[in-house]
Amino acid sequence: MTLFRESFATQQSLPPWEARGVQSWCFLFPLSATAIQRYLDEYFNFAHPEPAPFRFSALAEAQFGCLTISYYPVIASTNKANMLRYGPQTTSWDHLSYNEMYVAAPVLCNRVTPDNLLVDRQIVWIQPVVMCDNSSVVFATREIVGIDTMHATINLRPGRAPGSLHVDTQFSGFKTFSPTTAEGPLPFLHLETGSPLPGGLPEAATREDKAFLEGLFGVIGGVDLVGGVRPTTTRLISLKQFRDAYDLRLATYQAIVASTATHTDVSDLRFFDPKEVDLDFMWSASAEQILSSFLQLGRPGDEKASAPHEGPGWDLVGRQVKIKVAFAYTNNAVYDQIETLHTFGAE
Amino acid sequence: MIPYVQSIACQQVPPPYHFPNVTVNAFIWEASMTRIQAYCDEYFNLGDPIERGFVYKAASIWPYATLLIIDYPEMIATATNVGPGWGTSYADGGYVKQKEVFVALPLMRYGTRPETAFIKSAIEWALPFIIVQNPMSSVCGREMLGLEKLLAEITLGGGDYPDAFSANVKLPGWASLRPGEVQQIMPFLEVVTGPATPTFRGSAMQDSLWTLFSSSVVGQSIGALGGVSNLIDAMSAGLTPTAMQTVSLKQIRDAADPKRALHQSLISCRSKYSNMENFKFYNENDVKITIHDRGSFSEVFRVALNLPQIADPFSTEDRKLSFTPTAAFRFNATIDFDQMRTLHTFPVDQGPGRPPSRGNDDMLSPWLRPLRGFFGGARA
Repeated sequence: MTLFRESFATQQSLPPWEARGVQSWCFLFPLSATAIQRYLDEYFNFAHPEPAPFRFSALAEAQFGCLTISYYPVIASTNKANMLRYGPQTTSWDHLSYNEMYVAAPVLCNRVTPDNLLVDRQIVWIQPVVMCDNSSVVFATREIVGIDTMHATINLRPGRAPGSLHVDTQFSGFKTFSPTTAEGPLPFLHLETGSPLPGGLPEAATREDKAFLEGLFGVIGGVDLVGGVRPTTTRLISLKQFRDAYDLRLATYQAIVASTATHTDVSDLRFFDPKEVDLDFMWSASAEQILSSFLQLGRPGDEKASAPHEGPGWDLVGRQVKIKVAFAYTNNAVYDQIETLHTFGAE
Repeated sequence: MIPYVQSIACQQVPPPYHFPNVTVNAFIWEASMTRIQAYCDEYFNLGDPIERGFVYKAASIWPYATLLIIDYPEMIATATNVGPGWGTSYADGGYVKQKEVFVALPLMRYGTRPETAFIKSAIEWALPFIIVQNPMSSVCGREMLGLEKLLAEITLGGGDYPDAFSANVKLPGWASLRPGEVQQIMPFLEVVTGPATPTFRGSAMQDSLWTLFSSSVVGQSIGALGGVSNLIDAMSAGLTPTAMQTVSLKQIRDAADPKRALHQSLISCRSKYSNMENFKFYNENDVKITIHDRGSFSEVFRVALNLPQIADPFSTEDRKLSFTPTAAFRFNATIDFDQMRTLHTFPVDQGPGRPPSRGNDDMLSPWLRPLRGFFGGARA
């Protein structure tokens, strides 16, 4: 085995990772099957030079995105490689604390046989938008798993109503593309919930909402409100790739990687009224590709900035997303079973 | 080779880059040749020396480490053969501001076989760490070029006196290697200078290196040489950082077994300095460089400084060590970052029953490259 040469810059947490007391807020909204399929075709269903022996497609049952905001008070690697390198052979020292924001969507994964048959139907998740405020996590997820995590400022605080949440995220980018534009912090997301509902999941208000919920529960199956609304084990796929240093249009390495997140000890489950959730993605040149392609939020017209905040940088137009389900919970999680499903162009 | 799938979330703005109006503060001190050689052996001299055909050694003719603190008011990507894929070229998309801190160590590369002894020899610079404050810059350097970039808080300013300089670097790290230690943003490095010379303040001038350059003859020479940085480069054989050819180890981890490398190659890039002006020395006796030798930071300081190993890795003590450099100066320049190349791809083990991956080599000495171009050789 050729050993990876660890260095000062790679002393990142190595998988598997174990997190305790993770607080998550989840917001579900409809997505277009066309947008999901386009994303899958661009990132997974190509032939470079041969297609992968997997076919990824949008779910027929339901197409939705899940915006998740998570606070990890402590997450640690259970891989001993880093510690052993420095001498200590006891428990791990590389504990971290951070905030994360991502949009995930469930999709269908089928294995393709040599006879071109689609077998082994499995639901996996994609994460086209991931932001995190810890650089060690950014480097580890990008360089090991291949998730395109972006570094961002993620500010979580209580909202105006009791028990509510207020979130602002900013990332480095360009408000407009022009030779004279300086990169700077750009608002990307603003979110505020109402208070948690005293009961459980609110009744669907319309026939459309009911259909959405039925589709949602059909996908995640066997909804156990004690065990968690989301599946207790989720399989995530990502495209891990590294550029060639000489010809930057090419990849030295490109592979589809799968990883597993297992959620346990779910507690403190609470629902929010989706109608009381204000969610705006802020439009900027750097955010345009994310917002227009996957989330299918249209380019703003001539409307004035609908800034949810006063202050520098918040003079952007917000694109509102209507939430169908909103809930929060606390849990423990393990991230492991990382494997390379397919390496493109392998000899 | 396979096409890279471009997205904005990939965060990568490919080189080459053009950096005008840069301010460089440089601090030079004597480094441990043994430590630098150990670094070369760990990261560059992989595998069998005869088989790979080259060896990196600490440059005994220039046994110094150079700390460079650079303020970039504008970073412009100038790539013309690759675009972001959303209608605007990188060059027309905007510019980035950044501050950067790194240590550069000169290395000599020699051929290890009779036929490679001459054609593979070169002077290159190793950068054991590069600290930047821009997220995209950190991702670009790490993923495209294998540079040891980390994201940090860098504050540059003046000192207690006019025309002085100060730098303050904070970095995520672990204060000790105790079980359960939680990462935090910690002080990593501080630099404080007196005013740029000539000045009536500070220590006795007679002891300072800058007095050599205070004569009009030498001063004019520096000015002339600054205007023809190619000449400096030629005269010094690349040992002054006017055209810094760097070497870095680019690696890709296996997702399933992160201890395993799927790819290891040596990447070279050039940082070319031109339009050098406003060259000023600091009285090095009034420069104080302070490092915080603790926890997860300890490793990197031992590459460029001859420090003893830490007796107790569980200690949370913040060992602040201060020292004075051998020389300190600043200047303004334009920097162009280009000539990215994969110098050498190491064969890696591909698992039971499979042969090692194919290696590759493009390690021709710089002075022979034009000849190869003339005779029609091409990169594999």
